[in-house]
Amino acid sequence: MTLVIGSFTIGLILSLLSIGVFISFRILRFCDITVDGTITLGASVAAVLLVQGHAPWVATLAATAAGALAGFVTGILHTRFRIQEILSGILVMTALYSVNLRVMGRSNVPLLDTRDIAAPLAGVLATLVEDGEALHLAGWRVPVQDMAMLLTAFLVTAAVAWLLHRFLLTQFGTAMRATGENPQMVRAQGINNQNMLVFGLACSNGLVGMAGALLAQYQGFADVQMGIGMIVWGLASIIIGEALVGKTGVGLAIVGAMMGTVLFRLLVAIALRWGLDPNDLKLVTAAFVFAALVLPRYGKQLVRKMLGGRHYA
Amino acid sequence: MLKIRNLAKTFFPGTANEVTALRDIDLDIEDGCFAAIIGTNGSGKSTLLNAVAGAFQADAGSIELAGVDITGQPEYRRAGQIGRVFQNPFAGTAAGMSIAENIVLAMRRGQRQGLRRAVSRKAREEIRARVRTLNMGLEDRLDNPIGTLSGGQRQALTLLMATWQRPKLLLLDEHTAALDPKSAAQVAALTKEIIERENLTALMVTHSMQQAVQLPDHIVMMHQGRIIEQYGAQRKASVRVADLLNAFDRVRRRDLLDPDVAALLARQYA
Amino acid sequence: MKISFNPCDHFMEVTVAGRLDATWAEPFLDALRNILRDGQHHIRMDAAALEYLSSAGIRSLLQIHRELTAVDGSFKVQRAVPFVSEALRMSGFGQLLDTEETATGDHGRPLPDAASAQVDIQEGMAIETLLLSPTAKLALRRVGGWQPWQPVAAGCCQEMAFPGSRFALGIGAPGSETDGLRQRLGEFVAAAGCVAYLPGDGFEAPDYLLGAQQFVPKLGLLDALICDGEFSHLLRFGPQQPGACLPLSRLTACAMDQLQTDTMGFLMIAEIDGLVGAALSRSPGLIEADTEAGRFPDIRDWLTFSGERAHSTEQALVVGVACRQPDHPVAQWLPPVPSQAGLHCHAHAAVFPFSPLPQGKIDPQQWVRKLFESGGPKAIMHLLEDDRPALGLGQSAFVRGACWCAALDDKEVTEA
Repeated sequence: MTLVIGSFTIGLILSLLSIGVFISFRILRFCDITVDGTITLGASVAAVLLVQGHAPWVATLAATAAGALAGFVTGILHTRFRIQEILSGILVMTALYSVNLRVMGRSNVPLLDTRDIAAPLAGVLATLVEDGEALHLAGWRVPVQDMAMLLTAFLVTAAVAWLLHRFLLTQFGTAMRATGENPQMVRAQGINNQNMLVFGLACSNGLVGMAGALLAQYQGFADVQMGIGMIVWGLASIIIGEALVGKTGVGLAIVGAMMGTVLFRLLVAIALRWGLDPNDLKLVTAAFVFAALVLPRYGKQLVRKMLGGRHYA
Repeated sequence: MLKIRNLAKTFFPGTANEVTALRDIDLDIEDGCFAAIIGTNGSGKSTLLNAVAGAFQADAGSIELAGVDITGQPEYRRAGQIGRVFQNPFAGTAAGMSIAENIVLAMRRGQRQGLRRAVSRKAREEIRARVRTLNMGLEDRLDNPIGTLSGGQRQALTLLMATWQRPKLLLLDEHTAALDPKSAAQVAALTKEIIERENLTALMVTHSMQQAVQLPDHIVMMHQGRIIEQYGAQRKASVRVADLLNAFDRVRRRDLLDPDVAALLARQYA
Repeated sequence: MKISFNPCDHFMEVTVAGRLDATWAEPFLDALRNILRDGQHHIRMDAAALEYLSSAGIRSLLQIHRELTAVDGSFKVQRAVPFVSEALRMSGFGQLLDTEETATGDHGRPLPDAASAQVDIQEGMAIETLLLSPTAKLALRRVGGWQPWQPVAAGCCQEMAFPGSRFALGIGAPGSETDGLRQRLGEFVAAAGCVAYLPGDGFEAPDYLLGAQQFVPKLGLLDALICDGEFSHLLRFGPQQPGACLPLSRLTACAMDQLQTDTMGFLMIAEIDGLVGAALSRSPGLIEADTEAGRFPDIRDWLTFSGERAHSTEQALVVGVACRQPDHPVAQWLPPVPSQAGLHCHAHAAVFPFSPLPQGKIDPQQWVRKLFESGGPKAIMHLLEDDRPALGLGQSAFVRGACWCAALDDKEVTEA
C-alpha cells in the first residue's frame, strides 16, 4: 500500500512536470530541454528557502517563479538571439547546473525538521483520525503524513490543471495554442508570436519548478542530479496519456497527461519491485519513448504487410 | 492608400547566393483599388508583397499605409491593418484548432487578446452568421478542426478571416495557385465579391495572366526586381492575355541581348 | 477510327476504317493537313472500310478538299460503301466521289517540264530550278544612306510608292515627315503591291498596307534597297529526308550558281525552320546626338534580338539582295555573312501563319497577296547570322518553298 500511495503522490507531483512538458512540446511545439535543469532549480530554491525557515507555500511559489525565469531566458535566447530551440534549451540547462549548485551551496540539501506544504492538511487529518498518526484504509495503515501529501499534491495538480484548461480557452490561450500550430498565421492576426512563445515557455517551466519544489518536500531533500532525464519521463507520461485518452481536446489531453504520469510511476514502481535495476531505469524509459514514437509508423506498415500488401495511404 | 518609395532589398548580401530581389520600387495603390502583380519566377513579386507585410526589413526605401509610415513596424503590428491570404491553403489557419477558434483570433486582429473566453456565445453567433455567407455549409461545422476541410474551404475561411476586420490593405499571395481549378475559380470569385462589397484596397500576386486580366483594376508587371510596366484604369480596360505574354516575351528577349549579341548586331545590323 | 497512309507515285493513299464522326473529324483533318504540309497535294481516300460518315465528317472531307484545290491539288473518295456514297450524294457533295475504281496516276501531278527544270539534291534538300524569262534582270536602287545609330537628319526620308512589280526591304514608315514619320520608323518588307512594316512604337506588332485598285502603298524611306523588274528563275525546294532544311546562305549560293551571277535580288515564300534576326523596337528617328544607341547596354532600348530560332512551322515572306563579290559596289551596301567568306546579303522576313503553296511554277504576285489577305504579318525582322561561339543560333533556314530571283543589272544599280 505504501508503494501505491507513494507512486500516486510522486505521480501527481510529476503531473505538474508533465503538464509543463505538455505546454512546451505539444502546445508550443517547442523542444524544450530546459526542464531537466528547471526541476532541480525548483527543488533547490524551495529547499534552501525552507531551510532558512520560510513558509512552504512561499518556498513553492518562489520555486515556481524561478522556474518561470529559466523558461523566460530560454525563450529570449531563441526568439531575440535566434539560437536554435534545442541549443537554447541546452544552454540554459547547462547554466542551471551551476546555478543550482550556487543556490544550494553544495550538491545536496536535506530537509530535516522543516515544515512541508502538506503540514496544514496533515494537522487537520491528525485531528480526525483516532490514533493521531495514521489512518486505516482497507486494512492498511497509512501514515497521516503520507495521506496529507497525497491529497495536497492532488489538490494542487487539479487546481493547476483546471486553471490551465480555463486559460487555454481564453482569447489569449487560443492565441498561444495557435502560435504552436502556425506561427505565420498568428503573426498575420496581429499577434506577436515570439512574445507568446516566451510567455508559454515561462508558464511551462514555472510548472516544472513547482513540481521540483513539491518533489523536494516529498522526498525530503534536493539534489543537483535529480533532474537528469526528467524530460524523457515527462514525454513518456504524455505519450501514455495520449494512448489513454486519444489526441482530442485540450482538457482531455491535460487529464491524460496527469493519468499518464501516475500510471507511469506505478509501472516504474512495479518494475523496480520485480527486480529492475534502478540504474537501468532511464535506459528503459528512453527505450519506451523511442518505441512509442516509432512504433505507430512501423506498426502501420506491419499491419499493411499482414493485410497482403494493400496500401491505403 | 499604399505608397511605396525607392524600396530595395538584397538577400544574402556579400555571399555567393546574393540576390537583389527588389530594386528601387515606387508604387502607389489608391484607396479602393484592386491591383495585381504579375511577373516571371524570381521577379520579386512575392518579395514585394512580403516587404509590405513586414516579413523582413527592407534595405532602403519607405512604405506608407493610410498616411502612416510602417517601414519600421514588425510584421505582427502591421497585421493589425493588413489582411493576408497565403499561397499555401494550410498557412493561413491553424489546422488542429476548430473553425470557430481560428476565426476568433481574426475577430480580434490588431487588438489585445484578453482573458475572456474565446468562443463565447455572442462570438459564435456572429461567426455562424458570417460563415454562412460563404455558402459552403461550414456554419454547421464550427467546432470541427480546420484541418479536416478542403484546401478551397480553408482558403475561403482565410479570406474571410483576413477581411473580418476591414483591413486597410488586403494582400493575396497567389492564393488560388495551389487549389484545384474549380476551387480556384470559386475562391477567385469570392475574392472579387468581398473586395467589391467592402471596397477594399488589395494587392494580389498571381501567376495566372487570365486572372490578372479578369479580376483587378490595375496590373503591375515586375521583372528582375523592378516594376517594368503598369496598366492603370485606362489601359487595363483594353489589355488582353496575349498583350501581357508579349510584354514578358519582350523583356525576356531584352535580357538575351548581352554584350556578345550587341557586338554581333554592330557587325551585321547596318 | 483507324487511319493509315500509303504513299503512291503521284498521290497519297489514305485508308480510313471505322466511323468518321464528330469525335474523329478534327484528328482526321489534322492528319490530312499534315500530308498537305509535307508537300503532297493529291490525296485519295480509300473508304472501303469506312462504316459511318456523319455531317461533321463530311465537313472535314469538304474542308480538306477546299484546301487542296486552293493549291491545285485534288481530293477524291474511292471505293465508298453505299451508305457513305449515298450520304455524300444526298448532301450534294457527290463530286468528291471517284467513281472509277482505278487508282492510277490520272489525277497525279504532271511532271515538270523537263526542258525547263533541273533538280538538284544536296544535303537532304531537293532544289528544282524553273526558268521564267531567262534574260530578265533586276534594277537595284538604294535609298538613304543612314549611318546606323547616328541621329536622323530632317528631310532625309524619301517617299516611294510600291506598285506590284517592285519589291523592297529597309527602314521606313508610312506618312510624311510633317506628321511625325521620324517617330515611327521601323523595318519593312514590300512586294506585290503589299507592304508589311513595324510601326517602331516598341510593341513589335507589325502593321501592313495592301494595295488595291487605285491605292498604291507609299512609304517614307530612311534606308532601303528597291528592286524593279522581272524574275528570271524560280527555285522550288523541299526536304528529301525528314528534318532537312535550307539555310539562307546556301539558298543564295545555289540561286547565284543557277543565275550565273554574283549579284542578285530575290523574293521568297517558304515554310520556316527557324528565323534568326533583329528588329528595331524604337524608331531610329528618335536618336539624339548624345545617344549611344549602338552600344551595349543602350542598344537594348533600340533593337530586339530574336534570341532563338523563331517562328518555326510558320510561313515567311523574305525579300533580299545578295552579292558574293566583295569588291562589287553592291557589296558595300550589304552586311557580310560570317560563315561564307565573301558573301554579303541583306534580307528581311515577314512572318505569316502557315498556308500551303501549290507545286510547280507559281506567280509571285498572286501568292504574296494571298499571304497578306489570309491575315496580317505576325512579325518582321532583319535576318542575320548568329556566329557567337557555342551559343550561336546560326542562320535562318527554311523547310520548303518558292524563291523567285534574278541577277542585278550592273548598269541599273543606282543610289539616291
